[in-house]
Amino acid sequence: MKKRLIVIGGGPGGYTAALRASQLGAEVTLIEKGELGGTCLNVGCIPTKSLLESSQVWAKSRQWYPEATAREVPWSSILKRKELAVSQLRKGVQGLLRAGKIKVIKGTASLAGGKTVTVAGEEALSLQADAIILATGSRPSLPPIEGMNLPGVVTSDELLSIQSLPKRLAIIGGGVIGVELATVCSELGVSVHVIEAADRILPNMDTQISQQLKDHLEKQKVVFSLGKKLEKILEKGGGSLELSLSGGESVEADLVLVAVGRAAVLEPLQLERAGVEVVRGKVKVNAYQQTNQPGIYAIGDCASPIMLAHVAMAEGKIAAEHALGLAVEPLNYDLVPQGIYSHPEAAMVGLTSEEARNRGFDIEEGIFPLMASGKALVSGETTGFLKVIADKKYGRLLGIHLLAPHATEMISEASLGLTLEATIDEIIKTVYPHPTIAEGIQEAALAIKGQAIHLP
Amino acid sequence: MAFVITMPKFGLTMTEGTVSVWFKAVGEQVESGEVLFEVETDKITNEVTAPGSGVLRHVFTPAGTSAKVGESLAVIAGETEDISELLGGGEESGMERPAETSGIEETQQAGTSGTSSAETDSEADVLPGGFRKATPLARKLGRERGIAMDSLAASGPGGIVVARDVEENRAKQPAISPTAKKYAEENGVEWEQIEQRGRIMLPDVIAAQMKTACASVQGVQYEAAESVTKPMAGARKVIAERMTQSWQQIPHVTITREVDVTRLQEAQAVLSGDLAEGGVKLTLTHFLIKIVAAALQKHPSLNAWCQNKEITTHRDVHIGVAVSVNDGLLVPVIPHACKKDLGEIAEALKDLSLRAKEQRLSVDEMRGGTFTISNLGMMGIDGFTPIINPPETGILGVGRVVDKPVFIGEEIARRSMMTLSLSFDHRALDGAEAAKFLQTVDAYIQEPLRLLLKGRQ
Ligand SMILES: Cc1cc2nc3c(=O)[nH]c(=O)nc-3n(C[C@H](O)[C@H](O)[C@H](O)COP(=O)(O)OP(=O)(O)OC[C@H]3O[C@@H](n4cnc5c(N)ncnc54)[C@H](O)[C@@H]3O)c2cc1C
Repeated sequence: MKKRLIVIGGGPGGYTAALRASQLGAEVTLIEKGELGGTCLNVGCIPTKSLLESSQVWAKSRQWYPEATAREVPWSSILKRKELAVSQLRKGVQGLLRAGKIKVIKGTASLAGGKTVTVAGEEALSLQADAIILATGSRPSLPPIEGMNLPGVVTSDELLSIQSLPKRLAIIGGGVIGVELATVCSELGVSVHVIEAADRILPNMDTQISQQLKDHLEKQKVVFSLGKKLEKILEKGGGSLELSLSGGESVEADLVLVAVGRAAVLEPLQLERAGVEVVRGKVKVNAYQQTNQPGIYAIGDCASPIMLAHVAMAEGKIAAEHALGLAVEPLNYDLVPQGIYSHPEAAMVGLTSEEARNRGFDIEEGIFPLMASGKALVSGETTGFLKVIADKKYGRLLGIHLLAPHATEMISEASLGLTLEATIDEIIKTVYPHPTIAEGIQEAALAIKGQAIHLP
Repeated sequence: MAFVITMPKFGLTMTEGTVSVWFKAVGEQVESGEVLFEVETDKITNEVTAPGSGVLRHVFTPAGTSAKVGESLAVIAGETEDISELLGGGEESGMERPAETSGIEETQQAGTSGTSSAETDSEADVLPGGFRKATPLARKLGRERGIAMDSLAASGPGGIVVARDVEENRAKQPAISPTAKKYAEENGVEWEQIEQRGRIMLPDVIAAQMKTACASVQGVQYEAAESVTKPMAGARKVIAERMTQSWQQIPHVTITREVDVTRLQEAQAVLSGDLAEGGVKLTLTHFLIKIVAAALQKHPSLNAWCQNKEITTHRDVHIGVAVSVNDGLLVPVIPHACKKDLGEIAEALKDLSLRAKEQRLSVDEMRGGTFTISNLGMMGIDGFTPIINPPETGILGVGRVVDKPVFIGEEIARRSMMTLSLSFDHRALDGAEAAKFLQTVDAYIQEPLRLLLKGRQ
């Protein structure tokens, strides 16, 4: 008899797990309370990237062809383009699930103990399975600060479909979401003020990336308050909001975006009924995504240490394969690439120099600044650099950090290199096409040996 | 300082070599870096330089004779230095030299570049059904010449057999990642012997090395090399700073106790059988972690942190286990050791030490320990003075197990004995308390069944 598998949540983690399980011959049911595609497709990766494409094209056109772009920002067309991409991709997911003969149920699922799932939706259902995969994702978290419920204070969910752009936007949080949306809005002429409690933006990235990206955004007129905490938000009348920050500073804005992090969505699941353990707000899982209850797995934002769509997908595959008895290898979180789609883009895989030193590596770094790249020059995007970190002993690649146009595409090469345990010698032996920005990765590797060709 | 010159390894496949010429005679002064002798194998001839200066005092392997890799060839020492201990070692095979022989500098490979690196990395990725990836041209050539694809090394991208491989008819070798290969060569791990279905990665090499580590410690090789001085860097530097700080700031007292581990070994034998099916091998270290965790719950003054004139005692026990890694020492922590059973401890330690050697531990996994265990028993050490890992207040050094005649009443019996060395922070506690802790540990070791009783002293 076919194994029955229930997946709760139709985001990238959930639909990947469902599709993989169906490839492996399971009878799969997927339950989704909202829209297929989850956060990523509807209010995350895809809409932000659509807006970023639009804002960059607009900003570049403005700079290069001012006479053709003298008019106002075509925000409603930008939104329409985004909606189009989202709805088309949603249909795509629907089609894939249909082709995989996966039963999709609309409704909110909860655990009823053992391997029973109940669904509250158009009709109430109770389902049995051999294995259950929880993939309920996350939602924006709001810090308990006065003024969070004022009109004009929004999360990324709302900002992505806001009907008109504000004049002044304050962004709380200089993490990935904050920086990406600061990029969009500043390119569209909004004056943006970013408030971040750490002393640099993107605190988990390479320090040089944080620094240069901040400098670059400052040139686009984004203002930063670093090392400052938001204390409260007050209404000032006339639709204006006032933010008081630690240290006495105050900032005025028409709209406030709160992007301080995301919290796992667990409540509707009623985990306690099945005895599923939760640690620090997330479902506790082992390397195979198993919870403490046999046959119940959890993946993606509701369980994972890294909240990214590709991590959710990778974990989804692991969970599905493990649940169906395949021998699987756990995910190596050191090798997960991370991208930020700001302009220029930032991307990394592996360890930062700091982390590598902490782990006891004796390291070497090679850096290739984009100023020296012909391709970057013709694109008019010379801010940034490519950095290769290797261990001194074997030249083993430990981390690659890019701040460059197309960094999020180029990082795949680095991921492959790290996954194959390549050393700088393999990068040096590889032939790179010219002119590209990627060829700078080779120069960075050569720089470690003091042999870069295009560096003095 | 005396040096034992050993037969160097010049290539992956080299197992022995012939000393063709000695350029110095016994009694002659040798300068570091001077060419000392020449080695011939069936593939290469190489000159080897002296790893240090001194007088060539003794030659074990006269010109024209061959020796296995790692075997002692000669001794260089001061003119009047006592080398009788080293000469003894020469009669056994060099591989069996005890690790603790003093006064020998452990040195690396001789001042030659050694290995031929002409071999191309090959890939051995075989698709699930035993089907070997090969290009159509390679298949065609193979059919023509009657060569099976799966007997060939693959040099194409992604482990695909390309025409060149058929033409050269190169025998299949397992695929290995570049990092893994360098590590294996440097650490003398014979990666060709690793049984692996896919590509050999660094963790596989390290795992193979760990498997043979215990067997080969006794055969630490003293290979000839030039002496090099370089500043401490990376992990070495951090360890040096931390150890100095600990030693200077904490008044260490070390107490030792010899314990009878005969019963514990019996328990180990029984339980190992039970766990073997799950692929877990129980060692004395696992038992000691369990026992120490139980004992610490009864002696909280040793399960404590002492810093800034404050003592924080912990209820939960998180045990750090010193793991030697390439170039250093890491202390990953087994959290909640007191709540884990032996199998869980064995698994946690296996995972942590493997990842420690791969340098995949995050800082968090090395923080928060409340007590540390350092085992040098497998290196043949009887007892030692472990240095406290601040802010902890105690560290237990574990020595080797030696069978000894012991009086039991009037009878002499053969018992397995082991020395425990406990260093403690004398600011935080006194000798009597520390001694009582060792007493508790001993009580568990004598009667491991006591572990089944919860709490209560
Ligand atoms: C603004 C923004 C930009 C982002 N950009 C990127 C990016 O560029 N790259 C990237 O990798 N990641 C990005 N992310 C993160 C990415 O969106 C998430 O990591 C990813 O969506 C997680 O996937 P998931 O499947 O775990 O959960 P989700 O995508 O959150 O999906 C969970 C689904 O479960 C459903 N659900 C929840 N509870 C129940 C229930 N009880 N019953 C039924 N259904 C339920 C929800 O409705 C939802 O559809 C971004 C996130 C945001 C907010």
